[in-house]
Amino acid sequence: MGRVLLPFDYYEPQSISDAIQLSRDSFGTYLAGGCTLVPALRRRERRDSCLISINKIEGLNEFYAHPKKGLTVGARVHAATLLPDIWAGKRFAALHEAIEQLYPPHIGNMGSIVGNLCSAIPYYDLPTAAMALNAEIHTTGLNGKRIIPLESFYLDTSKNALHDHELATHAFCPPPQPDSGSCFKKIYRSRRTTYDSHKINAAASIAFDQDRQKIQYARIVLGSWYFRPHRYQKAEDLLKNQVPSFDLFTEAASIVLEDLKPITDMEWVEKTRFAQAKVLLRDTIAQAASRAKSRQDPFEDASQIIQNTK
Amino acid sequence: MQILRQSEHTTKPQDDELLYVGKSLQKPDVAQKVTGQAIYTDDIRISGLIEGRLLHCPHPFAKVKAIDTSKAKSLPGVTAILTYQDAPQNKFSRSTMAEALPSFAYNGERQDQKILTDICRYRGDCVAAVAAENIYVAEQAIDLIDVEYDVLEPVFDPFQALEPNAPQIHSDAKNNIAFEMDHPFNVGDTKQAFADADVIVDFSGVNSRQKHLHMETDSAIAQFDENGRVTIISPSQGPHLGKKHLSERVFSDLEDGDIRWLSPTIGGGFGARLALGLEPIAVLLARKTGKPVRVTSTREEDFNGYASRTDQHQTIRLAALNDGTITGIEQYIISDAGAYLSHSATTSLVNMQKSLGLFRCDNVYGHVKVVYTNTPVTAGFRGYGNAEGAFVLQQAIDMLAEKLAIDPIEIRSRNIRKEGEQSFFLPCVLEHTRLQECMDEGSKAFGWNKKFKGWNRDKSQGRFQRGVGMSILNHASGAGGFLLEHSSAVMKIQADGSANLVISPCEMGQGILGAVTQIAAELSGIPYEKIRVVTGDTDITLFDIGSHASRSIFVVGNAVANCAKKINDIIRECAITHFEKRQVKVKKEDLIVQGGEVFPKTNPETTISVREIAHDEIYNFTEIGSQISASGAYLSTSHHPNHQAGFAEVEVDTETGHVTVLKYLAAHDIGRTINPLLVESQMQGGAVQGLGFALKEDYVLDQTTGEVLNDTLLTYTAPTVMDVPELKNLMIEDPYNHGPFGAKGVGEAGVVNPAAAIANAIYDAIGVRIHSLPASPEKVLAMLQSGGREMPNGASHVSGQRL
Amino acid sequence: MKTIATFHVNGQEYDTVIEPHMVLADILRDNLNLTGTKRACSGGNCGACTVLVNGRPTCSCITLGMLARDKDIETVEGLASTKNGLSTLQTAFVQNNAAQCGFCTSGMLMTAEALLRENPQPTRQEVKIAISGNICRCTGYIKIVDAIMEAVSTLQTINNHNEKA
Repeated sequence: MGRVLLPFDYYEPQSISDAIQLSRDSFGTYLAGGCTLVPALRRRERRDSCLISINKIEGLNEFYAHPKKGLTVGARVHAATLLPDIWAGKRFAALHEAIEQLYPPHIGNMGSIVGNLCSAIPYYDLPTAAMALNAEIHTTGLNGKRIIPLESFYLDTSKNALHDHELATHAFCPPPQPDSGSCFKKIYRSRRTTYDSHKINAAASIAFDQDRQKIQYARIVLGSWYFRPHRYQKAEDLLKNQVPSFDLFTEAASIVLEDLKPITDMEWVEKTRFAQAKVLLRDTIAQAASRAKSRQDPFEDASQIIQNTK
Repeated sequence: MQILRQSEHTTKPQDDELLYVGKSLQKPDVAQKVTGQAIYTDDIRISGLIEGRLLHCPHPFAKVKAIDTSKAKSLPGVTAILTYQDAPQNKFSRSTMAEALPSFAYNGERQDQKILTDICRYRGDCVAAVAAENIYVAEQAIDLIDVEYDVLEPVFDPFQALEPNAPQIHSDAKNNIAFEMDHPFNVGDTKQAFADADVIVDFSGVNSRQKHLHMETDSAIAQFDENGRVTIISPSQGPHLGKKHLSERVFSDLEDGDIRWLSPTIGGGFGARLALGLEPIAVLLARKTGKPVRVTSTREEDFNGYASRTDQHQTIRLAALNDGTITGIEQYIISDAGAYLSHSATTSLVNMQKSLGLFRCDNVYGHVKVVYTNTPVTAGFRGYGNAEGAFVLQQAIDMLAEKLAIDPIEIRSRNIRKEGEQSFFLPCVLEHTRLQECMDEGSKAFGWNKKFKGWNRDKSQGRFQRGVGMSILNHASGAGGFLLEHSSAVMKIQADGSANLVISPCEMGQGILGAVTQIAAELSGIPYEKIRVVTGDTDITLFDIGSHASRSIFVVGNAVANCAKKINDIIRECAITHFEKRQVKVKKEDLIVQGGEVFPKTNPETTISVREIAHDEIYNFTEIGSQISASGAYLSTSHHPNHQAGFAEVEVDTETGHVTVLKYLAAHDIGRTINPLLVESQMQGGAVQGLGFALKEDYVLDQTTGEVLNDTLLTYTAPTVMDVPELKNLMIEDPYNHGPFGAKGVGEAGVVNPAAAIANAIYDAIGVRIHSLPASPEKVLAMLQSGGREMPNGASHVSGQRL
Repeated sequence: MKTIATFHVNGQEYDTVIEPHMVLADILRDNLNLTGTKRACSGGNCGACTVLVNGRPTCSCITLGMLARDKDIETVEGLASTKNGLSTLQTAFVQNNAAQCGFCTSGMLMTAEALLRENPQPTRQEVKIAISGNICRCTGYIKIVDAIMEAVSTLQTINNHNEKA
């Protein structure tokens, strides 16, 4: 573990194609804010010999959030950029909440959202939140452009589905269902073994039918348990066409637990982990549902607000 | 903060006559700190300075088979590479306390480690050191050193380490026992007391290895001059003791006077700097290269390497009569020192001293065993064993109260030692205590009688449960009669009437420079803002064992008081001729020095400035000139602990196990507050550290690899501002005759009570006893799930994981 | 790969030779001799090295120097001026004894400075959230929050006074 970084080569291409070309020539690693990369280099967990900064590339700093158009964040967009945005807060609440709770808050000013998603660090919060919002990663590589759903983006710890030299250019969340709400929560724990994580996080997205009586759509994600966040469809199916209730949410959380495997071989550790996950899931689903139910911003009003704030 | 005066009669001079003492003045070093101008070790710029870094063993237990430095040596910019073959083979302890302890405790300070070693006893033992022209080259060189290890079977658990077939960590420590003894002042017959008792309680608990987390990680600079004298610059809490230790134990060719030790601004200490850190290796590299060398360390190295609280596995048994009178106390401690002993034996002994000495009891038995394991080295931490002990003892006394259906405050009141009674630990009487008043006033301000609903209250249903708990403590104000408790101060007056005050304590943030300057100003008559403090240079300051044991305000404060009184005396003496020149006839006894002016008591209009007197003393061409100066010393031998009562109100989330502290109140028996602002700062800081110790700070090792699992400030989760509850502090003032203006120590006590009071509050809320710190959500939940029965031992005993 | 880089720190322009693997904290301290910025964790976890980059609190210990070139950087050295002495925030820190060992103080001040510019009248809770990523081991945080709140009200009084004038 060093106090400083070991030397590396460094490039600052001006375009996506230059970046890809440089990557092919030098086998460099793409660098956005560096919040994951720099500490890893200092700790000698990584030993990259070449970094390619994408921070001079035009067009990677696109950001907009809109209830009908979805959320687009370019690879250079810092997480905190989302915070003052009214639609990011209202319609993409899970992601907004995850960013709000980043520790320390400084990270939001330095780290990019796409970089966070691409890092494939098991305990990161944004992947869990983004997965509940159906996020996908848009890329440009040697063979052109691709769209990779976040659900199939993670292959292993620190390993994503990007090909060699392929650059994640932006992340996209589709517009949420009408009458929907989302939520993100986390619980900190103590690590007990090397493969353990120091937290559990969860996110959910819930939409109601037109009468706002029954749940029509649900996405439930639990993260920081395995190397990547997972969706739990059995629980999602259970919620569909049901009238929301505390017992229903509890049952959905219990169903998720059925699919979970313990991480350590310590019984008390796992018992508490499962118990906490259940509460976390239940509360997250309940909060998302409550937001969906109390939503007071149909698109027509929304466009007005946009007009007024301009 | 509220200051409650218990009595007014013992104070002289009366409060309203005091100009500085008791006032919230700004400490002298604070302005530098808010402008970024304060100079810490890492900020020092010396021309020709080279950078040193260390190579640590990646295995918990291994022997170096071969070490190849050739690649590293050939790297341009590398000045020197040292391995264990280049380092002195003298063994030493990182704890410098050996030099300040009496012989019975001195045996506890085993000299058991080397600067660089070929037998690595924990991940983090130092194998090699590099010095290079800059930090970047130094780190590349570290990377290029090839070491081949013979990996040995490690042991991480103190109980496993005690087993006959356990790996032997030190060849001269059979069964890995580093230290074992009965408490030196055991009395009576506890067996008989327990046989005769009406009630017995038995409680076991263990604390985690709370890290000091001084924000400034360790670093040291060493530089030899042409005469072979070495200057060390490092954040040390006790440089005088450090140089004695370094010359006595580490470098046999250096004498005490061959070392000049500078201690600049220190980025937090909390006990960790009461030891040798990187100084020995810095000296070694400086000697080898002939250049000034700075050795630095990282936060990860701090986590994986030196210094944390010692995890003390304790059992405390109490025997009592039906009326609540305690008739017997037993305490058994098994401490896990880590790979080297350092402070572990002394902190365990101090735990017994505080735990066994708090209550009046004729039958007392204590026994301690300190064990080596292949885990990072533990050390002394603010409270020095007291917080570890209070967590167990204060729950045991509550259990006793519950059995006898007595209020927690009442059972403590019936048993605490009173002023004038024989103290347990030392052959002297307890000279001063206002612990009862702390409990009385504290409970009033906290609203204890309303909040504590009795032992058999109906527990309500619901996710969130509230409860209250309390704890009391006694702590040192300097360990008079035990440690080498003396200090000296020097003061001199400049030609402009300002003064230099030379004192020894190091400023780590505690504010001691401000507090003693207030004493000096009050007693010398020189204005506070005209006194400049000099400290942190062993060539200038007088011998002193350093800043710890809440000793500085008492011991150093008294030395400063003696010194300032002499200065006052000299000024008045010199003033007589000045008055005579103006045809004013005065006697020395009638003169008063105040605010830089001298005047007769009866005629305050006629003043002569100290400036004039001081100037004429120095620039005296006709007679023999001299500068007004004096030195004062103080030796403390009495037993006058400071006390505190702590009260906590918590809310427990019974579904996740999360504990929130809603309110915390501490009432402190301080003797006299010299500076309320500084005292309150210490109390608040201590309480929040104690809260981290109680609920958050879980230092965990992987049981199979020995790896520290939370070696960053992200995963270690020290308290942040969001964790701070409503905090209240009461100062119970009743001056102690021998303290400077009646003051006693305050620095450490704040950290002791929170864990114990919070644990008792958790029991009040959910009926479950906490056996293992921190009371993290998982542990609280596990205890709730098992219905409060003690959990079976987990796979690991290390670092509070055993429930 | 040595490069000459330009840094704009506290309104002053500095040209200095750096390498790509140098982080902003080390460049400020070692190249520009601005040692008020402290390194406490070097991992972006404690806030001690906080400087403002384009007005936003940033952990200079994990920000590559290359990424901070040509941006507006402010450090603790820029808070006080020879003309006006300590800033209102610094004065409030002094008066409340909000600095004990002082190692977290620079970062704490910079984080608070950014907050007060963005939100001149924060509530106590907003102040707490803003400094929640700055670890202080000495003070227990209360005096720090007190100091920031005091600065808020002092600045408010000054503003009111100026408006009247």
